[in-house]
Amino acid sequence: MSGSSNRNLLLILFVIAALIFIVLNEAGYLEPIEGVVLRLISPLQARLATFVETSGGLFRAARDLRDLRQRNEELEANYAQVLIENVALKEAAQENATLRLFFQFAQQHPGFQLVGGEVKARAIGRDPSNYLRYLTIDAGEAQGVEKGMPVIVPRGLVGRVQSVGRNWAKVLLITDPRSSVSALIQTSRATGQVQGLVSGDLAMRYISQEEVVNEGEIVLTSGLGGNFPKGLVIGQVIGVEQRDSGLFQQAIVRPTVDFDRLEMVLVVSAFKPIDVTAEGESATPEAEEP
Amino acid sequence: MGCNPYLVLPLLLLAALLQTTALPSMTILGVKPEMMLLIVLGWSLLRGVEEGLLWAFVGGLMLDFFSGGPLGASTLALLAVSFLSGLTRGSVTRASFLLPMGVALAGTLLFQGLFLLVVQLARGNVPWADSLWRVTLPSLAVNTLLMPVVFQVLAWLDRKTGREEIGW
Repeated sequence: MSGSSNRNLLLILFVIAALIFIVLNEAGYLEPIEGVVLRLISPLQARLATFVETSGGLFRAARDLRDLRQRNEELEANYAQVLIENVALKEAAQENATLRLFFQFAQQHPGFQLVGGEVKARAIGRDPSNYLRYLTIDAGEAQGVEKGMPVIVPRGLVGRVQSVGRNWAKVLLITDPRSSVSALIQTSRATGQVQGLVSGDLAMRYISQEEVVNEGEIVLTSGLGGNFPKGLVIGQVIGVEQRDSGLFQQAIVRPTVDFDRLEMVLVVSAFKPIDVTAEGESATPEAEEP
Repeated sequence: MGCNPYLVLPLLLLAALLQTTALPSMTILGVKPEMMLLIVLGWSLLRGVEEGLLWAFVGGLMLDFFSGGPLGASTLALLAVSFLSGLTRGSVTRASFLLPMGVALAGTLLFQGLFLLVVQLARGNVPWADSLWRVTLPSLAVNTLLMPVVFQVLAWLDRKTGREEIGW
């Protein structure tokens, strides 16, 4: 038999065997043989499947981890950006609210010519001594600030300029024991002098014994003496000390201004305090509350 | 090598800035710690009168420049307490905090008394009783308790810079 004839015979046999397997399989005659073979092979198959699944999972996990890290970095960058924007927006909103208050205050008091002076920082301007209460602001002569000018916030009176430089000024707070402000009580119009206490509160002294002073009443600047414009809020009466033997009574006043949280103040630049020590000079405040 | 003036000035300036910025918001018993006073007292203890006085002068001036009070009030008070503190230099050992704490106690009392006296003389109207009760008493406690911490830092600086005379 030639070689080519052998190859043709082998082809025919394989084709016939295949056809027989197809027919027997479809007829169900090969199932027992199929069962034995699968029982022998299935453990290997399972292990192989596990290996493939695991290795494939690892590759997927590595790919996922890389993607997640990249995504995480992007999100962190976005978060940081949003955080910065959020802080900036909150600061802007806070500043906007403060400026709005100042603007409203300026509109309500057209007689005052206001110079904005931002406190250099919340804490930078504090006096190093525990006994003195001063504040340093970043407005000075260059901005029109002069010694003696009142310093206010919309909530009330802060103090007056004690010393001034080109771009700074030191403000004597009304809570300093050496500060004295002519004041009156809003309802009864009783007058007195508001002086600072070491405790941080204020005492309104020299109130006539005939006046009735009640807790909760508002204390305003009286304008007497010419050191401050009339009508600025100083604080609220929280206690009254009255002695029968005394010539005067005294009220303890809590300031409306939170001096520990001052961030921005306004200097009333149009108001020129009267120098009572200067003889022969007639001076009047240029600005008074209308 | 003595303590370099290029180190002293920034150090005292930092102390003054801290006392006017960070410390006011960190009040204890209603008062802020007097960092400059403690530094001057501690350095005088460690280095003696000469250096102590120099630090008191420079530090006091810095405080005065930041203060609305009379210029020189803090300087004068610091010089006095620094001098007295420097006299006890030979007694101090780094292991014990008792002497620094005692010096802080006495130094605070003297410093604040002198400061108020200068303010009284220069500006008047010092509420002595209220000031002593509400400020001086709490300050005595606060400064005395903080002194060991400050002294420890100064002792470290002392070791780093040596004990020879400074070359100003």
